[in-house]
Formats: sequence, C-alpha cells, structure tokens
Amino acid sequence: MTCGFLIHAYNNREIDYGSMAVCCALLIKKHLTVNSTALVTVQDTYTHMVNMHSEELIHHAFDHIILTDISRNVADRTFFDTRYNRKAAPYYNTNRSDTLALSPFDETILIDADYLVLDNSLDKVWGSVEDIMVNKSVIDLNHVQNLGGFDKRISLLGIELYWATVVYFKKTALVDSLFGMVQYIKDNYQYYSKLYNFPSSSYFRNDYALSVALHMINAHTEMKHVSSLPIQQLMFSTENDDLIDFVNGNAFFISERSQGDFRLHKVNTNVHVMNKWSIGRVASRIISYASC
Amino acid sequence: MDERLQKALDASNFRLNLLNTKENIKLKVETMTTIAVNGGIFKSSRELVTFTKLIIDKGHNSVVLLDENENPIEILDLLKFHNDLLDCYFSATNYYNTEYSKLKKARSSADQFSELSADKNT
Repeated sequence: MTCGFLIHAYNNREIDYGSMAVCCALLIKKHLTVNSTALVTVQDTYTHMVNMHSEELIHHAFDHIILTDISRNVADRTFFDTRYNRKAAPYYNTNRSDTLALSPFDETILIDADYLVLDNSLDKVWGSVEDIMVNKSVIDLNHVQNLGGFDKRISLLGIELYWATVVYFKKTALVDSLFGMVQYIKDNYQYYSKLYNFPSSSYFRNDYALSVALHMINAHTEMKHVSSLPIQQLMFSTENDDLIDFVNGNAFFISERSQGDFRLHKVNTNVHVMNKWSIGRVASRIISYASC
Repeated sequence: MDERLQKALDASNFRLNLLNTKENIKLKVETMTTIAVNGGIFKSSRELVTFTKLIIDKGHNSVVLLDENENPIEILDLLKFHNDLLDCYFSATNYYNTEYSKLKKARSSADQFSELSADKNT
C-alpha cells in the first residue's frame, strides 16, 4: 500500500501558492515518518517555483509532480492580509474533485498548501479502518470554538460543516462516489447553494461542496458516518492574524480579534494559516528550518 | 487612564496570554498521547492504561477495544499496547511538566516567548 500527501498549488497574480506548497511539503518531510508528497500544479506555477527555489529543492520537497490544467474562468475572491490590507485575486483552487483520479497513492491525505505540519499526529492515520476522515471542529488561535456559528454548520439551520483543509481517504467505491458528488455539486453550485442554504459567494468553496457531498452520501442524515482525524479540532489562524516569525519549528502569530487587541501566540502543533501573505513573508525561514 | 485600571488590564492581558499558551501546550500533549494500532486511533488516558493492565492481569494477551471513532479494533499484543500507552503518556506528561514549569516562571510576555526574543537578538 502506498501512502502520501497531495497538495494543489496554483499561483494567481497576488498569491504564491507554489512557495506555500514547498513549505508545507518540507514540513511534512521534517516531522512525519510517512512523508511522500505529490504536487498538483500547472506549468506556469511550476516554472515560477523552480525560478524561486531551484529545481533541486522542488524535487526534494515533492516525490511526484503532476502537471494539470485548470479553468482560468473563475471569479475573484478577496484575500485579507491582517485587518489592514486586502486584495482581490482569482481563486483557482477549484479542482479538488479531481484529487482521487490524480493521486498516485492508495491512501492519501489531501492537504491545503497553507497548512503547516508542526507535529506528528498525521502519522497515525495510515492503515486506518476508515475510508475517509475529515475534521468538522475548528478552533482559532485563542482556542475559541464558536465563531459566530459559522464553524459548526454551513448556515444557521444548515447541515454540519466539514473542513476540506485536511482530508484522509482511501481509493474505495465510497470515496469514488464522494468525489463524483463533489464534482456534481461544483457543476451545479448555485442550485446546491439554494438547496442547502449556504452563502453563495461568487467563488467556489471546497468546504461547502465537501459538506454537502458527505451529507448526500450518508443518506441525507447526520449519523456519525464520517470520523475525525486523530486531533479532532483543526486549529487555524484567521486572515486577520499575522504569522510574524518561525523559529525552530515554532510558529509565532499575532492575532487581533478586535482592533488594537493584539495577542502573541506560539504554536507548535498543526495549524491552518489563512493569511497567505504572512506565510510568504516567513517562507524562507520555514524552508531553511525544514530542509536541514 | 487610571493607573490602577491600567495595571489590572496589563495583568489581565498577560494572564490571557498565559492561558492561551497553556492551551497550546495541552494541544501538543494531546498529539503526543495519540497512538495508532491496527487501523484504530487511541488516546493514552489513565483509564485506558488501567483498563489494559486489568485485562493483562486477568491473563489475556489480546482484546477488542473501541477506538476514538468507536470502531472495534483487535489488539493482538496487549502487553506491547499497554507499554506503548505508558511510554507516550509519560513522554507527554513530562513534556507538559517542563513547559508548565517554564510558564510558571514567566513574569512577562518577553519571558513567555523567549525563543522569539532570543531569535530577534541574534
């Protein structure tokens, strides 16, 4: 059985997802025992990655590089860099439904490029009796769980929200159906946004599509069919937070929940960093730590 | 602002930082006490350690246990499983103790985040 991680990375005019993917893959190599990685990207992002980091580093970070094609006809999404800066840019990360077909592994962890693997908890999933594992509980840097109700359900009276940030799956018939369903929801996104009453922003959101697909393949019930990853709560830093430094495997953040209310955090467990620019600012330090 | 109020707010902020750091340490401890066996995921708790010891003392060396996701998992070598639970429990609690001792000594945010200060000074 082959096991490994799969990361999608498609640069847009503002955000260097390629460099984030390099950080993510090198941290996987550094902290995990099972650490094969596959990158799914497009030619222009790959060329940029090689120019930025050298071909040698890219091949050290990734065991498989899968070049694909993506639709460039996507809507812009607003990305925040702390409270004080925002920019709109195309959101190309919409082909996760192809992951099952693209993955070179029998067991795969699909992982966001902006997820920093700082502990070894993901070593515990391989050979699982589960077909799929995904988190539905999140905490922010202040260990707050209730983020206005948004973290629990896709709308006030909606179904449970699962987070597509980290998804473990095996190549089974059930998972094949699941990814097929995600593709179908993507093709009919407006319809499902009305049916499931989730906020239909102009861009496609993977978390919503996965949540609806999981609900559908579980016979439209909320029975406990989908198990959580080993650590049940997915920690994340919001787009208002700033990753200010990275020292010896510790990520240092400043969070600002309300204006002027600054908190410093040291994190040495896995964390989803939503402020993409802040990863870019410390990428060289992460790469330097993780590649030695 | 009144000096007393300012002092109280500073103390409150510092305390909140301490509590957040403690929660981060506890999260790390949770990752350290998680073990995988035969496709199941278990957390090394005092209850599980005691329960496995009880079964071993009854003369069994294999057992079916429910894991964190309530799947039945067959443990074929119960003694090894028990020892693994103990190892990761002690590693995790020792780590917690070390980090907690550092935290107790911290008198300011600069003490609390000393790695960051040290890095900035180099």
